[in-house]
Amino acid sequence: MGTNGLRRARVPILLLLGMGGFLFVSYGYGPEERALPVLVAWATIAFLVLEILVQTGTPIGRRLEMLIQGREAQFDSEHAPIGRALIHAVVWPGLLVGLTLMIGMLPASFLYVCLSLKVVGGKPWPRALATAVAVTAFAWLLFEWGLSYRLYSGVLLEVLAG
Amino acid sequence: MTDALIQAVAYLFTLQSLSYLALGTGIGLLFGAVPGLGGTTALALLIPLTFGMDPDAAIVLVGGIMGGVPFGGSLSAILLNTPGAAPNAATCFDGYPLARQGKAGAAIGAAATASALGGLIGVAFMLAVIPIAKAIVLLFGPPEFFMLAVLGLSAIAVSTGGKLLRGLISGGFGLMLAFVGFDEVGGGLRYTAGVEYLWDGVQLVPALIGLFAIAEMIQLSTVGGRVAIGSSTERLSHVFDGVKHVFGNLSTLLRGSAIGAFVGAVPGIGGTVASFLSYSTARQLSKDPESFGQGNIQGVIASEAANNAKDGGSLIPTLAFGIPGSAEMAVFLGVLVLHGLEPGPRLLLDHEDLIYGLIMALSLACVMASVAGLLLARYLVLITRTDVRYLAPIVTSVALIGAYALQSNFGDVIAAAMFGVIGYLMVRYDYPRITLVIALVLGSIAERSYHQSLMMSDGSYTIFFTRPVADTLLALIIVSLALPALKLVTRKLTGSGHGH
Amino acid sequence: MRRLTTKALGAFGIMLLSMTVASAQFPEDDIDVIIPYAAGGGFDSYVRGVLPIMQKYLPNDVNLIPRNMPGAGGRKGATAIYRARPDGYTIGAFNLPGLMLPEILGERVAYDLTKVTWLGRLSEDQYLLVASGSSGITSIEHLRALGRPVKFTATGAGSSAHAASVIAARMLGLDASVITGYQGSQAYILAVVRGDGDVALGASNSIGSYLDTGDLRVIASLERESSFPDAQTPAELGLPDLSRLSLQRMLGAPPNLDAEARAVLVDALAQALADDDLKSWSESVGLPYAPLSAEAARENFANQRALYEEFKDFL
Repeated sequence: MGTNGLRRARVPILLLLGMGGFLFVSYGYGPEERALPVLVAWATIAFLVLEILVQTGTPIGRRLEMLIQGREAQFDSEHAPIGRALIHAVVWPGLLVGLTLMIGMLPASFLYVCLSLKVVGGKPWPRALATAVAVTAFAWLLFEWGLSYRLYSGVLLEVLAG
Repeated sequence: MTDALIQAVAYLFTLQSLSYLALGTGIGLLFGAVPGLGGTTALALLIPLTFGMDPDAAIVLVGGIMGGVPFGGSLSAILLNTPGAAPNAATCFDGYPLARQGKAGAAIGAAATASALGGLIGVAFMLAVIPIAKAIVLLFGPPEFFMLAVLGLSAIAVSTGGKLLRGLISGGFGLMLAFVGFDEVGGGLRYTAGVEYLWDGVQLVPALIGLFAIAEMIQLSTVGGRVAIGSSTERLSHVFDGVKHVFGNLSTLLRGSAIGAFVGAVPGIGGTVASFLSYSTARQLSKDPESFGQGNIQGVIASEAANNAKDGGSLIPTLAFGIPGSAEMAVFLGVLVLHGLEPGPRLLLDHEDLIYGLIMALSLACVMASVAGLLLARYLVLITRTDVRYLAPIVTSVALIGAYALQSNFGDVIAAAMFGVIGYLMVRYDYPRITLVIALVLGSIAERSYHQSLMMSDGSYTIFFTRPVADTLLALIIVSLALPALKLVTRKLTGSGHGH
Repeated sequence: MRRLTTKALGAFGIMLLSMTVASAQFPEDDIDVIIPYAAGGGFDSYVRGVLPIMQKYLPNDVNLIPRNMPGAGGRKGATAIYRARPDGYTIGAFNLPGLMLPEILGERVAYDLTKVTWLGRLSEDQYLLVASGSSGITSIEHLRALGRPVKFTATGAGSSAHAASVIAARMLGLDASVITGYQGSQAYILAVVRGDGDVALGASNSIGSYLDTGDLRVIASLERESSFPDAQTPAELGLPDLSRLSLQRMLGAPPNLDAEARAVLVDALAQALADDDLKSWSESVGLPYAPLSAEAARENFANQRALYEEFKDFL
């Protein structure tokens, strides 16, 4: 199968490990509590093994693919390099969640929209600020004013208030 | 019956109730469209407001909300690949690809028309079924619920196109997530890893927000540009193309509405299963199943018709038995109780006029929401032309606020962000997200009814095979799984025939 | 350094002083009422019904603001009430025995109901034992003579309805099993109509309409005074303890509640529960209140706790 095949099968292999862990934990519960989880875990493991066979491109895998899905295996399409993707997937949302936790929802949204537009979007400051003000105002109007929700106000405020 | 009906119509067309209806529809559209809000939140927030109203007015307002929410959710499903609620997710399948192709207007047009007509058919179905409502509801016990949940899962797995295997894998992981939390049958905690947030299990709405709204924004951010690819500048006429498509596909519309109304009447799972079952039926019966998921407008019509028709259906168990079909219906029940209307077999007899008022309000709201959608369509499609660098931070922050607003729980915000990463990875490595979502919806119902069935039968599995309705559902499961294989065999036979 | 300490002490003294002044005027601000269940449920309706009336009897024209905090079967909201500052600005509603059961069954919970400051009871739903109208079961004797375990239907394991079913079966000397996991009282009552199980314990307001249609039949009443003249009562069955099984909704506040705030809140609640507006509203919507004073509510809690402690090995 070669390294290329292994590379393509890395996702199902990782998932297989995860599902194995779930199965292991499941056997720690009583027979009734684990009945369906164990059934589901074994079935999923079977599907994952098939998927690994398909992805590694072995002859058995190809035949399987034709049998199950009626066409040749499609290999992962290309995407943005993982490094850049991670910045968008983890760093920015993480920043928003972290800011929210610290300073509360509305200030965090304001800072996030503003920073994101400036840094990622490369927009001029006035436009970034104006958009951030508009978004924060919309959120405030809809939730705090219109629906009298108390949006999360952040850990810092609680600490300061004692 | 006719007296009560006339009375209801007469009341509905007064200035007061029309303005309540418009208000309700507007709120419904807005709450349906903002990811994370939805009908449950809208109704829960309005409960105190309806306190001082007389029952007729309250019911008209509530009917407006319930009529507006599904279509609001479809708008964000089409424009941003963000279903407002689980039943809207089927609309993403083909609605969002259409938006990517620059045909959001046509998709909205088709969705609006199919919603309005589907809603009306659903209401008509409900009126027709009221006399035998009790018999229908009594047919579905735990074994039938279990089969229906399995049918929902299998119908969705086969509708993921050429990714059956990965669809099943996603479904397995979705079920795994559904098992997390408090086990209602056994009464213990499972798979919570000591995290208190997980006691209630993995929450559906933050998961939806993450898997769709946030994941889509991440995906768009990494590639840049805008939702609508290609330079096609869309004219308003495309909206009416969408409208025309619905009338060109009347059988899809009717089938979708019938499935929606009927399956919607089954409490608990109805709504979500209905729109997916309708979608996968349309795909299975199509001459060109491969085009589904690539932006086939029939997919939008089928899921939208069922999505709105289900409301008429799901009123049956809610009103006649006080058993809410969904979280939204549970809150609606609260509104009824607060106004002295006790749900149960007698409600339909004792308060006929109110019930007809509700039904009329619901149907009129469906139409109003769709008309509003058609009028707004030309402005809404601008969203798909907005630079992603503006769209992503705005949608992300509003979506996270929506996730928080649901239960005022910061854990939901973290969950939504984590599901955003999971959703992005699923897009990147081409695993269908939808089977995961449906498994999450159906997992606990499937497990609960599985155990209940075995408790009923003292542990014997024959209970799943000896009840007529369960058997019928089992047959449908087998057909839904076998149909793609059968099609393949026939195609191979004819294909090889050409080859020689 | 010493000057600083004196200053700090002085400031502390002023703070203390201002706090006593503040509590003399309780309440100065709106009061949050935590409802540990979702908006729109029966529990929610009882609490929301009484709040606007209780508000009338509070000094200083402040509002009582209902805040639904559903989650973990009510544990989340109960914990939030328990952990709140005992200044009277956060109170909440409790479900008995629902919120007491996890504690009794040995689950580690973050609240201790024995320390909660009870403000009064809102309501009590007593149970009726019902069977399907088409089942042929008409009496307790019938159930004893079935020759197989009697199947009850109920909500999840560890819920009030489940505990009540198990305890009632033991008191009645029935060999019983419980089909659990139904979503709410309407669902498990319907399950009996459908024939999933033989019998269920239901509150009279959740079964009323099925009795008229003949879908359900009352076999026995667990009420102190039966609302069904034909049904056997706990007294007739020689089992008066059966009537201690019920579903109650109480208002409470964090432990060690400020005495001034407690007096104001208890008084306002008592006046609200005796108010004619509440009575007529409660009648018009069919949600009967069963008020108990703060003192009686405390005794009632102890009584309930003793009952479920006694049977905890069977739950």
